[in-house]
Amino acid sequence: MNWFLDMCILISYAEPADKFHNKVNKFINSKGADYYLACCYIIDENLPKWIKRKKVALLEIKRSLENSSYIIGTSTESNILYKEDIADTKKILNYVSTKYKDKSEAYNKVKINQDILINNLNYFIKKFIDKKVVPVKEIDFELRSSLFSYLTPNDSDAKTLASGIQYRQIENLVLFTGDKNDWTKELLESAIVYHPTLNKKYSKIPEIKYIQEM
Amino acid sequence: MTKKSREEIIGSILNFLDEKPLSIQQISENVGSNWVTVNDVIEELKKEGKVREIVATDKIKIIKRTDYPVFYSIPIRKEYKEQTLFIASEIVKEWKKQKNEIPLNTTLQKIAVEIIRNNNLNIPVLPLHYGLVTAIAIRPEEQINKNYEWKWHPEKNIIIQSIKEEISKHKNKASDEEDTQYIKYDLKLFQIRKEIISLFKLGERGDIKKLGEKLAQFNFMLPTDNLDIYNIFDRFIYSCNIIFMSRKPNKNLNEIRETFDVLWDLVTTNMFLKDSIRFVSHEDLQLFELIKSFHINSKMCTSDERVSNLESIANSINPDDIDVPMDEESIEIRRILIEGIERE
Repeated sequence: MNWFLDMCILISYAEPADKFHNKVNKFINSKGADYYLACCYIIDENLPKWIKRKKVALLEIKRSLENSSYIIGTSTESNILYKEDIADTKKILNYVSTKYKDKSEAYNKVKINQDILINNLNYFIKKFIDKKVVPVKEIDFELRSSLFSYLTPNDSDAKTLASGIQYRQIENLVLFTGDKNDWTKELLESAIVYHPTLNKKYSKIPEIKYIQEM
Repeated sequence: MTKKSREEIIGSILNFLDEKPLSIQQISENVGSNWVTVNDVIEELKKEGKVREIVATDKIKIIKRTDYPVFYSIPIRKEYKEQTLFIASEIVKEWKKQKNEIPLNTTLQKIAVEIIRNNNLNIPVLPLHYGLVTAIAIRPEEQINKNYEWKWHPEKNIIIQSIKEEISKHKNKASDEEDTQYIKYDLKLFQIRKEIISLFKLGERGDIKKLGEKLAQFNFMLPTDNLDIYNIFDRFIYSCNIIFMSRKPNKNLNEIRETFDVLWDLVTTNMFLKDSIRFVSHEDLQLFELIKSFHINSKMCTSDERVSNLESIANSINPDDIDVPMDEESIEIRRILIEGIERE
């Protein structure tokens, strides 16, 4: 069977404290002859960009710890950070600053935990993903837009789902996620089945399975 | 105008190169001979071991005299070279007189730094691998019979008196000389590096947790003025963190140590070259930048290769074999980090 994995599956694998970590590990360990698919968008764009932004955010934390008057997000490199990233960086900085008096310890605490996540995500991709599908440029704009309008503005989810639905027209697959709120049969029906043009183009609607139910 | 003989051209080239390294084009203009002739003579001098190339690209070749004594062959002003050599040779002579031996290289450098600082002399004192040094790679044994002039302020006698007094404070033990200087000038990065090396020397008997902490401390103190260097060190620490949290944290200690040494070379070379620019004449800035880029780029390549090797080791470790910290703080940090993962 082809399992098309949502980003949340990768996250659950990478984060040992995640509530689905053990379930994902069990799922991975019973892989057998199944194939794990991930979209090019997650592997080539979303994750590398996240890693890059997190590295810049860490540098911003270092600068701020070194100089208390430094304002996070004011360096040239930090141009790539979204305003939410800056907010998260400040949140982490405030958190570690209250927890650790030693600045190098505070910095290192963030660094180590960031390194673990990056390592685990990369390991998962390298070891378990059998196939990357749907190049980012080939994501159907109309399909993505339709999905986006039903997903509380989350373009990342829309691109991932669109990739899964597009690839379902080529090969059978199951969409595998932990997101019971957004990745639903109802969403696919609203965005595709009841859509005047997409329903013809995407006649094969993939089945969705949830890690919670495994 | 009479045509210069080959011997005259050789003499002239060596004279010009005595002052600073030059490109073949610059040598040709200074000597007044055409590029082809100068290039031929340079090739001959290279074979004789009298000169060598320090930068060689498709567009430019920079040549230095083999005995040009400045670290990294940078073109510092002639007076800095002369002043430093005077101080060095007087230290060696005085040391020999007082202690009947030749001082170690480290001792000589550290005393020279003290003389320069104590007398408020405007002579280069720069950070290098083992702390602050002069810009000149001095060989103590070669200085004993040398006599240099001192034609600057303060008077020669004041400098010599200062040397006499300073020597009595030194014991010719390289490690002690370093420690004293690190404390005096608050060279924390150098101090931590020395502690790291000591921990590495203990090998598998050493305390990996402590080594990890020291490396992290070092990483935090590393300047961020050169982001390429910061990033490469960040990748190194990433690999160390993953390896040290794995089930076999000691397994790649040698590889880690060797990579750390290569990175330290890169870091201190960058520090030296960054600080040395103020001792270079305006007319030599372009030459300096070429030499600087050459050194930094070549060290960056070596460092990148070493760090990449270490990264492959770290990346091959199964997350199940990593002892992930599960304390409240770590979990909270990872939770916030993950929040933004699907951000677009």
